[in-house]
Amino acid sequence: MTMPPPKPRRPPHLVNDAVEEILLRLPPDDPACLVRAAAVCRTWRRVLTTDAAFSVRYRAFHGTPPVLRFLRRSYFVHDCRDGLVFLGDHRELPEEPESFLSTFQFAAVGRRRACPDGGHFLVTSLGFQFDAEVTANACHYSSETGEWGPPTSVPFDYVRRRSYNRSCFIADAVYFAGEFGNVVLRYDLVRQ
Amino acid sequence: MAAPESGDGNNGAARMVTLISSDNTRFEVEAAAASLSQTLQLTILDGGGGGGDGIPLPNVDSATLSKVLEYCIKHAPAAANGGAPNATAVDRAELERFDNEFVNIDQSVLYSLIMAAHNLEIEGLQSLVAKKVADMIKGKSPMEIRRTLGFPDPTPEEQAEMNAHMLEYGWAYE
Repeated sequence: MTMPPPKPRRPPHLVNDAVEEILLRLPPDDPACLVRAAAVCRTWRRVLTTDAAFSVRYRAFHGTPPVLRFLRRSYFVHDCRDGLVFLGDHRELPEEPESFLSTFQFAAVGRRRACPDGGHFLVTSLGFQFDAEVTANACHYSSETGEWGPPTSVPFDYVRRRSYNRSCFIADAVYFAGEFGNVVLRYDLVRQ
Repeated sequence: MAAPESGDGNNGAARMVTLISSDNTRFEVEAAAASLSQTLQLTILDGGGGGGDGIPLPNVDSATLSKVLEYCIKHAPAAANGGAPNATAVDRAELERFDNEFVNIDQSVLYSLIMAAHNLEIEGLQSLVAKKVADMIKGKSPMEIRRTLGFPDPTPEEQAEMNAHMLEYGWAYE
């Protein structure tokens, strides 16, 4: 039996499993470190930026949402939750339906509680339309269907006040509170 | 080659198996220690590796294998206790001290260890080495990371991608 020649001490790139084990252990509180790791080679970049299964593992490992999407410029951050950040100028979402005529828009992003790690997310958009009377409009986008649902609207007693806009997901509803008045608006994701 | 000493076996008559490295060195080790490798476990359960046979490991050289076995021998008693739920704090501290010392090694050895830990599927060793590598690359630039892990030099195309990345995410390189 002939012996294979000794392996050179300059090995090729790491096998994928080993790469994941290493990247999994990069600290979530140091986004620059994750960004630099993404530049090492294509495999590392793929794992860090587009591999949904890795993203789920990373969240589970650290118990915190990582920063795994990199932004070219500063965006207006509408909302962040469940390891998701919704940005003002997000071109990956389709336009809202034409009937959703609103100004002063707010948005909430989150995952349905039933499948927190399913990879799918919802964006709920809340807006106000100022005609003779004010109406509050809402509709939501689901990454599962890739579409916005039909908008729904209710007459609304709009009182402008100074406040921060807040939203939260509870069960299958999104609650908005903010500069539009001393009320909390509830949007039912199931019944819309 | 002499087998690594394995401490107190069960009643002094623990079952031994032989592992053969890629460069044909034979290592005799307690079956319990070798069984930390998921890859070897089934073979060993089936009675393989005993007597004059030995289990060939064509992907692991002798220097790496001896290092891997050092880890396995140290961790085997705790693993036999099912992750050592009733281990004393002293035992745990000792294993931790061993682990820290264990990965305090040359980068080229570290790389071989990563590959061996994955080939042999030794979970604890995989985590230990991955943690060490992650710690090592934390403050480094992409190029330094490549050198640290012994990656080949980037092709012109890869180099261009790295440069573009650096321009785009300048804040991460400050």
